[in-house]
Amino acid sequence: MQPSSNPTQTPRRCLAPLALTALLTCAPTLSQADDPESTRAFVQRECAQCHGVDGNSIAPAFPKLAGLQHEYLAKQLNDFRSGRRQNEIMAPVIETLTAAQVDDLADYFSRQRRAMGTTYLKGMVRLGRRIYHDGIEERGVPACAGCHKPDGAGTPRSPLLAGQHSAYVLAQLRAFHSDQRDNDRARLMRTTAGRMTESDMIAVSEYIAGMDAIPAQP
Amino acid sequence: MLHRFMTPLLAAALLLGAGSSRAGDEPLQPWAPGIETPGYVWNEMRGEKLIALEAQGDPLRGEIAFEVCQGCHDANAGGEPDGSYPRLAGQHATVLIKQLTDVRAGVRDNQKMYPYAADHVITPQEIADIAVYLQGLPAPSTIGLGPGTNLDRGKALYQHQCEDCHGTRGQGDAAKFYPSVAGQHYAYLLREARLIRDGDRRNAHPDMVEAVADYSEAELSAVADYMSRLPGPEAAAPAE
Repeated sequence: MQPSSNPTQTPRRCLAPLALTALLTCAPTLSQADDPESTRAFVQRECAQCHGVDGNSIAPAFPKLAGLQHEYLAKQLNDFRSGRRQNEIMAPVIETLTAAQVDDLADYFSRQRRAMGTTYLKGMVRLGRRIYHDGIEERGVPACAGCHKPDGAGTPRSPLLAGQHSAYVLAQLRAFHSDQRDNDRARLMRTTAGRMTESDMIAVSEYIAGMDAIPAQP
Repeated sequence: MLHRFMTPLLAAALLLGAGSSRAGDEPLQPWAPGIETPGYVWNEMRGEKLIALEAQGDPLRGEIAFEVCQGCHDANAGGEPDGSYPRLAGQHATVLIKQLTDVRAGVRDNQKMYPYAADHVITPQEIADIAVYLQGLPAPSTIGLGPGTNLDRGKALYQHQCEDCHGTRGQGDAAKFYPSVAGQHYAYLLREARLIRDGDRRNAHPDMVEAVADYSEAELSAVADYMSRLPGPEAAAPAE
Protein backbone atom coordinates (compact mmCIF):
# COMPACT_ATOMS: atom_id res chain seq x y z
CA MET A 1 0.00 0.00 0.00
CA GLN A 2 0.97 3.64 -0.36
CA PRO A 3 1.25 5.12 3.11
CA SER A 4 1.36 8.65 1.74
CA SER A 5 -2.14 8.23 0.35
CA ASN A 6 -3.43 8.15 3.89
CA PRO A 7 -1.42 10.73 5.80
CA THR A 8 -3.96 11.40 8.51
CA GLN A 9 -4.02 7.85 9.74
CA THR A 10 -0.35 6.96 9.34
CA PRO A 11 2.09 9.07 11.31
CA ARG A 12 4.96 9.93 9.00
CA ARG A 13 7.64 9.41 11.59
CA CYS A 14 6.85 5.70 11.60
CA LEU A 15 7.66 5.29 7.96
CA ALA A 16 11.45 5.63 8.02
CA PRO A 17 12.17 2.80 10.44
CA LEU A 18 9.69 0.60 8.67
CA ALA A 19 11.28 1.25 5.31
CA LEU A 20 14.68 0.59 6.84
CA THR A 21 13.47 -2.67 8.27
CA ALA A 22 12.14 -3.68 4.91
CA LEU A 23 15.49 -2.92 3.25
CA LEU A 24 17.53 -4.65 5.89
CA THR A 25 15.49 -7.80 5.61
CA CYS A 26 15.77 -7.65 1.82
CA ALA A 27 11.99 -7.58 1.69
CA PRO A 28 11.49 -11.31 1.62
CA THR A 29 8.29 -12.30 -0.05
CA LEU A 30 5.72 -14.55 1.47
CA SER A 31 6.23 -17.13 -1.24
CA GLN A 32 8.53 -19.02 1.10
CA ALA A 33 5.25 -19.84 2.75
CA ASP A 34 6.32 -22.35 5.35
CA ASP A 35 8.94 -20.07 6.86
CA PRO A 36 7.33 -18.14 9.73
CA GLU A 37 9.97 -15.43 9.46
CA SER A 38 8.85 -14.51 5.99
CA THR A 39 5.27 -14.14 7.10
CA ARG A 40 6.39 -11.82 9.88
CA ALA A 41 8.42 -9.78 7.42
CA PHE A 42 5.45 -9.51 5.13
CA VAL A 43 3.29 -8.41 8.02
CA GLN A 44 5.84 -5.77 8.98
CA ARG A 45 5.98 -4.44 5.44
CA GLU A 46 2.32 -4.61 4.43
CA CYS A 47 0.07 -4.92 7.48
CA ALA A 48 1.77 -3.47 10.53
CA GLN A 49 1.30 0.23 9.79
CA CYS A 50 -2.43 -0.09 10.19
CA HIS A 51 -2.98 -3.32 12.12
CA GLY A 52 0.18 -3.41 14.28
CA VAL A 53 2.87 -6.02 13.91
CA ASP A 54 1.16 -8.18 16.51
CA GLY A 55 -2.30 -7.49 15.09
CA ASN A 56 -3.24 -5.03 17.82
CA SER A 57 -3.86 -1.84 15.90
CA ILE A 58 -3.54 1.49 17.65
CA ALA A 59 -5.88 3.58 15.50
CA PRO A 60 -9.47 2.61 16.34
CA ALA A 61 -10.60 2.78 12.72
CA PHE A 62 -8.44 -0.23 11.89
CA PRO A 63 -9.54 -3.56 13.33
CA LYS A 64 -7.47 -5.59 15.72
CA LEU A 65 -6.66 -8.85 13.97
CA ALA A 66 -4.89 -10.46 16.91
CA GLY A 67 -6.56 -13.64 18.08
CA LEU A 68 -9.24 -13.71 15.40
CA GLN A 69 -10.19 -17.17 14.28
CA HIS A 70 -8.13 -18.60 11.43
CA GLU A 71 -11.35 -19.42 9.57
CA TYR A 72 -12.63 -15.86 9.93
CA LEU A 73 -9.37 -14.21 8.86
CA ALA A 74 -9.06 -16.46 5.83
CA LYS A 75 -12.67 -15.81 4.85
CA GLN A 76 -12.29 -12.04 5.08
CA LEU A 77 -9.05 -12.03 3.09
CA ASN A 78 -10.62 -14.25 0.46
CA ASP A 79 -13.71 -12.05 0.37
CA PHE A 80 -11.47 -9.01 -0.18
CA ARG A 81 -9.75 -10.92 -2.99
CA SER A 82 -13.00 -11.83 -4.69
CA GLY A 83 -14.53 -8.39 -4.16
CA ARG A 84 -17.28 -9.69 -1.89
CA ARG A 85 -15.90 -7.39 0.80
CA GLN A 86 -14.52 -4.07 -0.36
CA ASN A 87 -12.11 -1.62 1.17
CA GLU A 88 -9.99 0.96 -0.65
CA ILE A 89 -7.11 0.78 1.80
CA MET A 90 -6.94 -3.00 1.64
CA ALA A 91 -7.24 -3.23 -2.14
CA PRO A 92 -3.58 -2.68 -3.20
CA VAL A 93 -2.29 -5.27 -0.71
CA ILE A 94 -4.98 -7.77 -1.49
CA GLU A 95 -4.28 -7.69 -5.22
CA THR A 96 -0.95 -9.39 -4.72
CA LEU A 97 -1.97 -12.06 -2.23
CA THR A 98 -1.84 -15.73 -3.11
CA ALA A 99 -3.96 -18.45 -1.54
CA ALA A 100 -0.93 -19.67 0.41
CA GLN A 101 -0.31 -16.19 1.78
CA VAL A 102 -3.91 -15.94 2.92
CA ASP A 103 -3.44 -19.10 4.91
CA ASP A 104 -0.12 -17.90 6.36
CA LEU A 105 -1.53 -14.54 7.39
CA ALA A 106 -4.60 -16.13 8.95
CA ASP A 107 -2.32 -18.43 10.85
CA TYR A 108 -0.05 -15.60 11.96
CA PHE A 109 -2.72 -13.25 13.24
CA SER A 110 -4.82 -15.98 14.84
CA ARG A 111 -1.85 -16.80 17.08
CA GLN A 112 -1.33 -13.27 18.38
CA ARG A 113 -2.61 -12.24 21.78
CA ARG A 114 -5.53 -9.80 21.68
CA ALA A 115 -4.85 -6.66 23.71
CA MET A 116 -7.46 -5.05 25.95
CA GLY A 117 -9.72 -2.45 24.41
CA THR A 118 -10.93 0.92 25.62
CA THR A 119 -14.44 1.98 26.48
CA TYR A 120 -15.00 5.65 25.72
CA LEU A 121 -18.69 6.08 26.50
CA LYS A 122 -18.97 4.52 29.93
CA GLY A 123 -22.62 5.53 30.21
CA MET A 124 -23.53 3.24 27.31
CA VAL A 125 -21.97 0.09 28.74
CA ARG A 126 -24.94 -0.99 30.82
CA LEU A 127 -27.28 -0.94 27.82
CA GLY A 128 -24.60 -2.57 25.70
CA ARG A 129 -24.15 -5.38 28.18
CA ARG A 130 -27.87 -6.04 28.23
CA ILE A 131 -28.10 -6.17 24.45
CA TYR A 132 -25.03 -8.37 24.18
CA HIS A 133 -26.28 -10.94 26.68
CA ASP A 134 -30.08 -10.70 26.37
CA GLY A 135 -30.76 -9.23 22.95
CA ILE A 136 -33.71 -6.92 22.36
CA GLU A 137 -36.80 -9.07 22.55
CA GLU A 138 -39.37 -6.58 21.28
CA ARG A 139 -37.46 -6.00 18.05
CA GLY A 140 -36.30 -9.58 17.60
CA VAL A 141 -32.61 -8.86 18.09
CA PRO A 142 -30.91 -12.04 19.33
CA ALA A 143 -28.27 -11.81 22.02
CA CYS A 144 -24.78 -11.41 20.55
CA ALA A 145 -23.67 -13.99 23.11
CA GLY A 146 -25.54 -16.71 21.25
CA CYS A 147 -23.09 -16.90 18.37
CA HIS A 148 -20.14 -14.86 19.69
CA LYS A 149 -20.30 -16.55 23.12
CA PRO A 150 -20.78 -14.89 26.52
CA ASP A 151 -17.06 -14.09 26.80
CA GLY A 152 -16.87 -12.65 23.27
CA ALA A 153 -14.41 -15.33 22.18
CA GLY A 154 -16.51 -16.41 19.20
CA THR A 155 -16.33 -19.74 17.40
CA PRO A 156 -14.95 -20.89 14.04
CA ARG A 157 -18.18 -19.51 12.55
CA SER A 158 -18.41 -16.21 14.45
CA PRO A 159 -15.40 -13.97 15.12
CA LEU A 160 -13.78 -13.02 18.40
CA LEU A 161 -15.17 -9.65 19.51
CA ALA A 162 -13.76 -9.03 22.99
CA GLY A 163 -11.47 -6.01 23.10
CA GLN A 164 -12.10 -4.89 19.51
CA HIS A 165 -12.07 -1.13 18.91
CA SER A 166 -15.54 0.29 19.47
CA ALA A 167 -15.19 2.57 16.43
CA TYR A 168 -14.50 -0.40 14.19
CA VAL A 169 -17.33 -2.52 15.63
CA LEU A 170 -19.72 0.39 15.23
CA ALA A 171 -18.60 1.00 11.65
CA GLN A 172 -19.24 -2.67 10.81
CA LEU A 173 -22.63 -2.71 12.51
CA ARG A 174 -23.64 0.39 10.57
CA ALA A 175 -22.37 -1.19 7.35
CA PHE A 176 -24.40 -4.34 8.01
CA HIS A 177 -27.40 -2.22 9.04
CA SER A 178 -27.36 -0.41 5.69
CA ASP A 179 -26.40 -3.49 3.62
CA GLN A 180 -23.12 -1.85 2.60
CA ARG A 181 -21.27 -4.81 4.02
CA ASP A 182 -22.89 -7.97 2.72
CA ASN A 183 -20.40 -10.80 3.14
CA ASP A 184 -22.03 -12.15 6.31
CA ARG A 185 -23.07 -15.78 6.50
CA ALA A 186 -26.73 -16.24 5.66
CA ARG A 187 -27.46 -12.49 6.08
CA LEU A 188 -27.38 -13.04 9.83
CA MET A 189 -25.52 -9.84 10.68
CA ARG A 190 -27.46 -7.74 8.18
CA THR A 191 -30.70 -8.98 9.70
CA THR A 192 -29.52 -8.44 13.27
CA ALA A 193 -27.97 -5.00 12.76
CA GLY A 194 -30.93 -4.05 10.57
CA ARG A 195 -33.16 -4.45 13.64
CA MET A 196 -30.91 -2.26 15.82
CA THR A 197 -31.08 1.48 16.32
CA GLU A 198 -28.05 3.77 16.22
CA SER A 199 -27.92 3.93 20.02
CA ASP A 200 -28.21 0.13 20.29
CA MET A 201 -25.21 -0.19 17.99
CA ILE A 202 -23.17 2.41 19.86
CA ALA A 203 -23.95 0.78 23.19
CA VAL A 204 -23.01 -2.74 22.17
CA SER A 205 -19.81 -1.51 20.48
CA GLU A 206 -18.73 0.20 23.68
CA TYR A 207 -19.48 -2.91 25.71
CA ILE A 208 -17.53 -5.16 23.33
CA ALA A 209 -14.48 -2.89 23.47
CA GLY A 210 -14.42 -3.23 27.23
CA MET A 211 -14.80 -7.01 27.36
CA ASP A 212 -11.77 -8.76 28.75
CA ALA A 213 -9.70 -10.07 25.89
CA ILE A 214 -9.37 -13.82 26.05
CA PRO A 215 -6.01 -15.54 26.56
CA ALA A 216 -3.86 -15.98 23.45
CA GLN A 217 -4.23 -19.18 21.50
CA PRO A 218 -1.37 -21.63 21.87
CA MET B 1 -63.30 -16.40 -2.12
CA LEU B 2 -61.35 -13.21 -2.53
CA HIS B 3 -61.78 -11.95 1.01
CA ARG B 4 -59.92 -14.92 2.46
CA PHE B 5 -56.77 -13.78 0.78
CA MET B 6 -57.13 -10.15 1.67
CA THR B 7 -55.72 -10.55 5.16
CA PRO B 8 -52.48 -12.23 4.09
CA LEU B 9 -52.11 -9.83 1.17
CA LEU B 10 -52.61 -6.89 3.46
CA ALA B 11 -50.15 -8.34 5.94
CA ALA B 12 -47.60 -8.83 3.17
CA ALA B 13 -48.08 -5.27 1.97
CA LEU B 14 -47.62 -3.96 5.50
CA LEU B 15 -44.50 -6.03 5.97
CA LEU B 16 -43.06 -4.83 2.68
CA GLY B 17 -43.87 -1.28 3.67
CA ALA B 18 -42.13 -1.80 6.99
CA GLY B 19 -39.22 -3.35 5.15
CA SER B 20 -38.63 -0.33 2.98
CA SER B 21 -38.31 1.97 5.98
CA ARG B 22 -35.68 -0.30 7.46
CA ALA B 23 -32.20 0.05 6.08
CA GLY B 24 -31.47 -3.64 5.72
CA ASP B 25 -34.05 -5.76 3.96
CA GLU B 26 -34.26 -8.95 5.92
CA PRO B 27 -35.64 -12.13 4.39
CA LEU B 28 -39.43 -12.11 4.66
CA GLN B 29 -41.32 -15.17 5.74
CA PRO B 30 -43.51 -16.65 2.99
CA TRP B 31 -47.21 -17.16 3.54
CA ALA B 32 -48.88 -20.53 3.00
CA PRO B 33 -52.50 -21.53 3.57
CA GLY B 34 -53.29 -22.71 7.09
CA ILE B 35 -56.27 -23.35 9.29
CA GLU B 36 -58.16 -20.31 7.94
CA THR B 37 -58.28 -21.90 4.51
CA PRO B 38 -60.85 -24.59 3.58
CA GLY B 39 -59.23 -27.92 2.81
CA TYR B 40 -56.47 -27.32 5.39
CA VAL B 41 -54.64 -30.52 6.24
CA TRP B 42 -52.97 -30.46 9.63
CA ASN B 43 -49.30 -31.48 9.60
CA GLU B 44 -49.32 -32.46 5.95
CA MET B 45 -46.43 -34.81 5.28
CA ARG B 46 -44.50 -33.40 2.39
CA GLY B 47 -41.46 -31.45 1.31
CA GLU B 48 -38.66 -30.78 3.74
CA LYS B 49 -40.74 -31.87 6.73
CA LEU B 50 -40.70 -35.38 5.34
CA ILE B 51 -37.01 -35.13 4.48
CA ALA B 52 -36.09 -33.95 7.98
CA LEU B 53 -38.25 -36.58 9.66
CA GLU B 54 -36.66 -39.34 7.61
CA ALA B 55 -33.11 -38.06 8.07
CA GLN B 56 -30.85 -39.56 10.72
CA GLY B 57 -30.22 -36.68 13.12
CA ASP B 58 -26.78 -36.26 14.67
CA PRO B 59 -26.72 -34.52 18.06
CA LEU B 60 -23.10 -33.40 17.72
CA ARG B 61 -23.79 -31.65 14.43
CA GLY B 62 -27.02 -30.41 15.96
CA GLU B 63 -25.19 -28.70 18.78
CA ILE B 64 -23.15 -26.70 16.27
CA ALA B 65 -26.14 -25.89 14.06
CA PHE B 66 -28.10 -24.78 17.14
CA GLU B 67 -25.59 -21.96 17.68
CA VAL B 68 -27.62 -19.53 15.60
CA CYS B 69 -30.70 -20.23 17.77
CA GLN B 70 -28.95 -19.57 21.08
CA GLY B 71 -29.17 -15.79 20.86
CA CYS B 72 -32.87 -16.12 21.69
CA HIS B 73 -33.49 -19.64 23.02
CA ASP B 74 -30.37 -19.55 25.19
CA ALA B 75 -27.35 -21.84 25.26
CA ASN B 76 -29.19 -24.45 27.35
CA ALA B 77 -32.27 -24.17 25.11
CA GLY B 78 -34.25 -23.10 28.15
CA GLY B 79 -35.84 -20.12 26.46
CA GLU B 80 -36.90 -17.19 28.63
CA PRO B 81 -38.97 -17.55 31.81
CA ASP B 82 -40.99 -14.48 30.74
CA GLY B 83 -42.27 -16.63 27.86
CA SER B 84 -40.84 -14.44 25.12
CA TYR B 85 -38.97 -17.47 23.82
CA PRO B 86 -40.09 -21.03 24.52
CA ARG B 87 -38.05 -23.71 26.13
CA LEU B 88 -36.87 -26.23 23.53
CA ALA B 89 -34.75 -28.53 25.69
CA GLY B 90 -36.37 -31.93 26.08
CA GLN B 91 -39.09 -31.33 23.49
CA HIS B 92 -39.87 -34.22 21.13
CA ALA B 93 -37.74 -34.16 17.97
CA THR B 94 -40.84 -34.75 15.84
CA VAL B 95 -42.55 -31.72 17.35
CA LEU B 96 -39.48 -29.52 16.83
CA ILE B 97 -39.24 -30.62 13.19
CA LYS B 98 -42.92 -29.95 12.62
CA GLN B 99 -42.84 -26.48 14.14
CA LEU B 100 -39.60 -25.41 12.47
CA THR B 101 -40.66 -26.59 9.03
CA ASP B 102 -44.09 -25.00 9.51
CA VAL B 103 -42.40 -21.66 10.22
CA ARG B 104 -40.19 -22.08 7.16
CA ALA B 105 -43.16 -22.96 4.98
CA GLY B 106 -45.13 -19.99 6.29
CA VAL B 107 -47.93 -21.93 7.99
CA ARG B 108 -46.89 -20.74 11.45
CA ASP B 109 -46.31 -17.01 11.39
CA ASN B 110 -43.05 -15.83 12.92
CA GLN B 111 -41.21 -13.09 11.05
CA LYS B 112 -39.00 -12.49 14.07
CA MET B 113 -37.55 -15.98 13.86
CA TYR B 114 -37.71 -16.62 10.13
CA PRO B 115 -34.45 -14.92 9.01
CA TYR B 116 -32.53 -17.03 11.53
CA ALA B 117 -34.18 -20.33 10.66
CA ALA B 118 -34.84 -20.19 6.93
CA ASP B 119 -33.31 -22.55 4.39
CA HIS B 120 -30.45 -20.16 3.65
CA VAL B 121 -29.33 -20.63 7.28
CA ILE B 122 -30.21 -24.23 8.17
CA THR B 123 -30.50 -27.28 5.90
CA PRO B 124 -33.18 -29.98 6.31
CA GLN B 125 -30.45 -32.31 7.58
CA GLU B 126 -29.50 -29.71 10.20
CA ILE B 127 -33.15 -29.46 11.25
CA ALA B 128 -33.00 -33.17 12.04
CA ASP B 129 -29.65 -32.69 13.80
CA ILE B 130 -30.91 -29.80 15.93
CA ALA B 131 -34.12 -31.65 16.79
CA VAL B 132 -32.37 -34.76 18.07
CA TYR B 133 -29.85 -32.61 19.96
CA LEU B 134 -32.57 -30.61 21.71
CA GLN B 135 -34.67 -33.67 22.49
CA GLY B 136 -31.74 -35.06 24.45
CA LEU B 137 -31.07 -31.94 26.52
CA PRO B 138 -32.12 -31.96 30.18
CA ALA B 139 -34.96 -29.67 31.15
CA PRO B 140 -33.56 -26.52 32.77
CA SER B 141 -34.86 -25.87 36.26
CA THR B 142 -35.82 -22.24 35.68
CA ILE B 143 -39.41 -22.30 34.50
CA GLY B 144 -41.64 -19.26 34.31
CA LEU B 145 -44.76 -20.05 36.33
CA GLY B 146 -48.18 -18.41 36.50
CA PRO B 147 -49.83 -16.82 39.53
CA GLY B 148 -50.75 -20.20 41.04
CA THR B 149 -54.09 -18.90 42.23
CA ASN B 150 -56.40 -21.04 40.11
CA LEU B 151 -54.65 -24.38 39.84
CA ASP B 152 -57.70 -26.46 40.80
CA ARG B 153 -59.64 -25.01 37.91
CA GLY B 154 -56.63 -25.52 35.64
CA LYS B 155 -56.37 -29.15 36.70
CA ALA B 156 -60.07 -29.79 36.07
CA LEU B 157 -59.87 -28.25 32.59
CA TYR B 158 -56.69 -30.14 31.77
CA GLN B 159 -58.08 -33.50 32.86
CA HIS B 160 -61.30 -32.86 31.01
CA GLN B 161 -59.92 -31.74 27.65
CA CYS B 162 -56.12 -31.83 27.37
CA GLU B 163 -54.92 -34.97 29.08
CA ASP B 164 -55.98 -37.42 26.38
CA CYS B 165 -53.50 -35.95 23.93
CA HIS B 166 -50.87 -34.20 26.06
CA GLY B 167 -50.71 -36.93 28.71
CA THR B 168 -51.30 -37.13 32.44
CA ARG B 169 -47.83 -35.76 33.11
CA GLY B 170 -47.89 -33.25 30.23
CA GLN B 171 -45.40 -35.36 28.34
CA GLY B 172 -47.08 -35.11 24.94
CA ASP B 173 -46.82 -37.79 22.27
CA ALA B 174 -43.82 -37.87 19.96
CA ALA B 175 -45.40 -40.22 17.42
CA LYS B 176 -48.46 -37.99 17.06
CA PHE B 177 -46.50 -34.68 17.02
CA TYR B 178 -48.23 -33.56 20.24
CA PRO B 179 -45.85 -31.36 22.19
CA SER B 180 -44.69 -31.85 25.71
CA VAL B 181 -46.25 -29.00 27.70
CA ALA B 182 -44.75 -29.90 31.07
CA GLY B 183 -42.15 -27.42 32.22
CA GLN B 184 -42.89 -25.01 29.41
CA HIS B 185 -42.99 -21.36 30.44
CA TYR B 186 -46.45 -20.28 31.57
CA ALA B 187 -46.45 -17.04 29.58
CA TYR B 188 -45.53 -18.88 26.40
CA LEU B 189 -48.25 -21.50 26.91
CA LEU B 190 -50.80 -18.78 27.57
CA ARG B 191 -49.78 -16.79 24.50
CA GLU B 192 -49.94 -19.81 22.21
CA ALA B 193 -53.22 -21.03 23.68
CA ARG B 194 -54.69 -17.62 22.99
CA LEU B 195 -53.39 -17.65 19.41
CA ILE B 196 -54.83 -21.14 18.90
CA ARG B 197 -58.22 -20.16 20.30
CA ASP B 198 -58.40 -17.09 18.09
CA GLY B 199 -57.32 -18.89 14.93
CA ASP B 200 -54.05 -16.97 14.75
CA ARG B 201 -51.77 -19.94 15.16
CA ARG B 202 -52.42 -21.12 11.65
CA ASN B 203 -50.72 -24.53 11.87
CA ALA B 204 -52.84 -25.60 14.86
CA HIS B 205 -54.66 -28.92 15.10
CA PRO B 206 -58.39 -28.31 14.42
CA ASP B 207 -59.31 -30.40 17.49
CA MET B 208 -57.11 -28.16 19.59
CA VAL B 209 -58.87 -25.04 18.32
CA GLU B 210 -62.22 -26.61 19.06
CA ALA B 211 -61.15 -27.64 22.56
CA VAL B 212 -60.26 -24.12 23.67
CA ALA B 213 -62.75 -22.23 21.51
CA ASP B 214 -64.93 -21.22 24.48
CA TYR B 215 -62.16 -20.67 27.01
CA SER B 216 -62.14 -17.35 28.82
CA GLU B 217 -58.89 -15.52 29.48
CA ALA B 218 -59.03 -16.75 33.09
CA GLU B 219 -59.49 -20.34 31.97
CA LEU B 220 -56.61 -20.16 29.52
CA SER B 221 -54.44 -18.73 32.28
CA ALA B 222 -55.49 -21.42 34.75
CA VAL B 223 -54.77 -24.32 32.42
CA ALA B 224 -51.47 -22.81 31.22
CA ASP B 225 -50.40 -22.35 34.83
CA TYR B 226 -51.31 -25.96 35.62
CA MET B 227 -49.51 -27.33 32.54
CA SER B 228 -46.28 -25.46 33.26
CA ARG B 229 -46.13 -27.24 36.65
CA LEU B 230 -46.67 -30.80 35.33
CA PRO B 231 -43.79 -33.18 36.00
CA GLY B 232 -43.14 -34.39 32.44
CA PRO B 233 -42.10 -37.89 31.39
CA GLU B 234 -41.45 -40.39 34.13
CA ALA B 235 -37.77 -41.00 34.75
CA ALA B 236 -36.59 -44.44 33.68
CA ALA B 237 -37.05 -46.91 36.52
CA PRO B 238 -33.79 -47.58 38.36
CA ALA B 239 -32.33 -51.01 37.66
CA GLU B 240 -33.01 -53.51 40.42
